[in-house]
Amino acid sequence: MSKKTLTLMSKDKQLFNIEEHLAVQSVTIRNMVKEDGASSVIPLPRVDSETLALVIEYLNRQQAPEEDEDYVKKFVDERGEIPTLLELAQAALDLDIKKLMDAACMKVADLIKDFTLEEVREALRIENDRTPEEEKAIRDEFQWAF
Amino acid sequence: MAAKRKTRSDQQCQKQRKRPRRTEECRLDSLPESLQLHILSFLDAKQAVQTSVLAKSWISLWTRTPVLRFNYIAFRKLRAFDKFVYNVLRFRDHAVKVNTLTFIRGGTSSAKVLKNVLDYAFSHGVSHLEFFIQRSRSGLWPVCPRTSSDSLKTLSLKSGNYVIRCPSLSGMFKNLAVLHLKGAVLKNLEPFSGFPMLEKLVLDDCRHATTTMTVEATRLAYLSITSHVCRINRCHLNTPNLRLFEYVGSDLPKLITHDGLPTYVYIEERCCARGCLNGFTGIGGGGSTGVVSCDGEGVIGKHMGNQRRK
Repeated sequence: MSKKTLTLMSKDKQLFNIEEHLAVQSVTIRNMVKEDGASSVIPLPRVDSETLALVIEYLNRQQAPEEDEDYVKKFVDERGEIPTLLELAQAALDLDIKKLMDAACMKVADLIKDFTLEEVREALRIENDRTPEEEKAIRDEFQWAF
Repeated sequence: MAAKRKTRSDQQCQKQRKRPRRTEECRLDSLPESLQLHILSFLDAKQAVQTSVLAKSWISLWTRTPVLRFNYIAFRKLRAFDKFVYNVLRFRDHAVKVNTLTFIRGGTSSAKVLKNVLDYAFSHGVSHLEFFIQRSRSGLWPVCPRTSSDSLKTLSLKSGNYVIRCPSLSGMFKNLAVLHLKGAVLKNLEPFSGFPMLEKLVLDDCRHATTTMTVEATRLAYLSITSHVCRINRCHLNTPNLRLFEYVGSDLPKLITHDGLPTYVYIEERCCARGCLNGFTGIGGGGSTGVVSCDGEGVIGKHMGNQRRK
């Protein structure tokens, strides 16, 4: 197989090159390549350049298949900040790279699993749009879960 | 409280701004619902339900997760756990399938709770089902003979002691690929014959009503039997595709196969490793099989050729 190179373009118009045989780990890219040969630049309008750089790093890994599970775990562990993980999960969803998406989502869940609700809001940057009375009403409704 | 929260989130924003890379996008709220659900799927059901309080848009997100993980450990009282399970199943979005369901409960589970969860799982297209219970009040897994599911691929029924009788599951799950039973009492003479797609069978300290066990599964590639207290004398294997047979226990049963031995055999015997090897040579055809045997202290085994069977 010849080492054909593809070019991916991030949201902020930065270009990244990657060998085609590595890029097709992404089902999205694989389908594009199948359809039109993907000779031109592949735009990724929802992925910023920093996240795309991470995704490329992941796709370029040189791991033996049996070590792959550990590698992807370590890969997300080292980028253990929630905002980065969420961006990574979204990029992996768009590009359809299941292992990376699973690992990123699992890591986020792992990070928040012992948090109080208030801490979850902070970590995931969720604005509480209920008044304290409304929140109390919801807690009462779901009192069997508290 | 609200003011305090605001200050804290302002601080957070500033922290974010110091690093110019992350802007307003990195919020879970702005992500596609499939991703939000995916993250919730890794949480225990109790925490998943509690996310309904986070904000208005989160009120019913948990009702649509493809995964349900029930664990009594998150509850002080078993009764509260049962009530929780009941309510979760009641409030779930019934149009949503549940891909994976795990249920872990200590104490003695009533048949009603178990049946409720099993019925929910089967009627919502479950693919992977895992149950661990300490004891069951009726002493029986409430899988009724009328239960059937074409979606089920992995089934794991584990109990902490040996009082749970396992009804014949044969023929109920035609796409089942993995079956793991622990601490079950098997009454049926041929309990593993009705699963045409079965690839992996794990029997962990199961009791058998007879001392002869029959496994008949065309696609079975992996068979593991752990037997410390329960004794099986004979094991009839009608498994032409078996690649690995693993046995951990005190007395290796006599293996009777119709299609030669599996490619690899692993034996960990607590008492007498020599006896188990004798058991093997008695069957014949061992020349094409790699046998590894070890006792509790390490590998002492010998190889009987490593050619792969074609």
